[in-house]
Amino acid sequence: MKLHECQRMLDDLNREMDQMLYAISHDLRAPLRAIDGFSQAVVEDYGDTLDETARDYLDRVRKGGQKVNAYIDGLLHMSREVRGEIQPEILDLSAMVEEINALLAANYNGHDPQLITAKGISVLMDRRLGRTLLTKLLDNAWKFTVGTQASRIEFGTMEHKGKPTCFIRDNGAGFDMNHAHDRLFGAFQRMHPDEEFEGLGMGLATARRIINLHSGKIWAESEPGNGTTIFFHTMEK
Amino acid sequence: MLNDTSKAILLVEDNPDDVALTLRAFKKNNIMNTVVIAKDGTEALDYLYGTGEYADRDTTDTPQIVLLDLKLPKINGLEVLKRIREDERTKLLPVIILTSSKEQQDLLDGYSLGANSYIRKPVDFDQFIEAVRQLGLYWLVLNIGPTTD
Repeated sequence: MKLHECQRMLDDLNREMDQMLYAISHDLRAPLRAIDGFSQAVVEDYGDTLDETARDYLDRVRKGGQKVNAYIDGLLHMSREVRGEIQPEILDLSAMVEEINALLAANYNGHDPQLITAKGISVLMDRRLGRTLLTKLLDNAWKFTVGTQASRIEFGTMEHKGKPTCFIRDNGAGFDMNHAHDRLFGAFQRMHPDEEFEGLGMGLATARRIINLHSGKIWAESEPGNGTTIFFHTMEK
Repeated sequence: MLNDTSKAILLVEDNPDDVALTLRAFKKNNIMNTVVIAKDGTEALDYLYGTGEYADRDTTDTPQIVLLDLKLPKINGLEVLKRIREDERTKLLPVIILTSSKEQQDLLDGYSLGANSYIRKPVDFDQFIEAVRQLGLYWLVLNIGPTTD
């Protein structure tokens, strides 16, 4: 197949996906609104005749619906955030990591991990997507070090199979790699129950999409109680 | 400040669940205006211009506001908006788009065609009631429409 034919097919597929996502955002939200609204209406209008168990069930119905809504938001967000053409430039990731850490520090009140950021690390990457990638990875590092003694988040580089590779390492909760398999970077994949750490499970899925767009590679090492390291490299400079 | 409840609200919405929820939200916010429901774009235009099943209606009695869903059977919401703006009788009528979509394109199209406001229907009903409360307070009470008497 010729290159321009491939390009046309890809454009068609992208358009089709856009239309599907449009349908999802519109058509799935209406029934969700009905689920939420009418459960609420039952509680309000007939609450007196319901016992505690019945109200608890209706509460679960609502929470379920709202969760589906959050999933739709996550999916749409990922597809909007990560699409279109990339415009690679030389990016100073070290500076960006420091900026994002400062923003996250404001979100995580009272959580004060030690931040170790190697200076002068730069890669060839789209600026907006580079920021999204680092935000997702650092947000995970902050989240999963909440409650860790002497918590630490490190950004650095190393060589992996002859390629310069960046990593973000934390000493937080970690997870069992045997349970992760391939699904770690899939959409809506969670390694921790909601009660321990909240989230939609879209962070690493988004990160992988960004890295794929840059013809790079992303992978993880982790151990329960000993933290997680995410490694990635992008296209060659 | 009082809301002139003699003026109708035209709700253009094809989904019966959304109609019921919107009416409930009006009631909970003490919005007492008559609500005329059009289930598609054709019905909305029939009501506004006294055609079809509304052939006998006095069309000088324009609604106070139109709440317009975008995705509608037959004539879609954006087309309804376009016709409203093209017609001398309704070109100043306040039209508020009330939709599930927050697609950038829908927003741009809506505003380009002269929508006065664009509100996204939240899934959470508490937020929906709050949205309708603010909408009612602003568009039915605070805002002074183009036709005052």
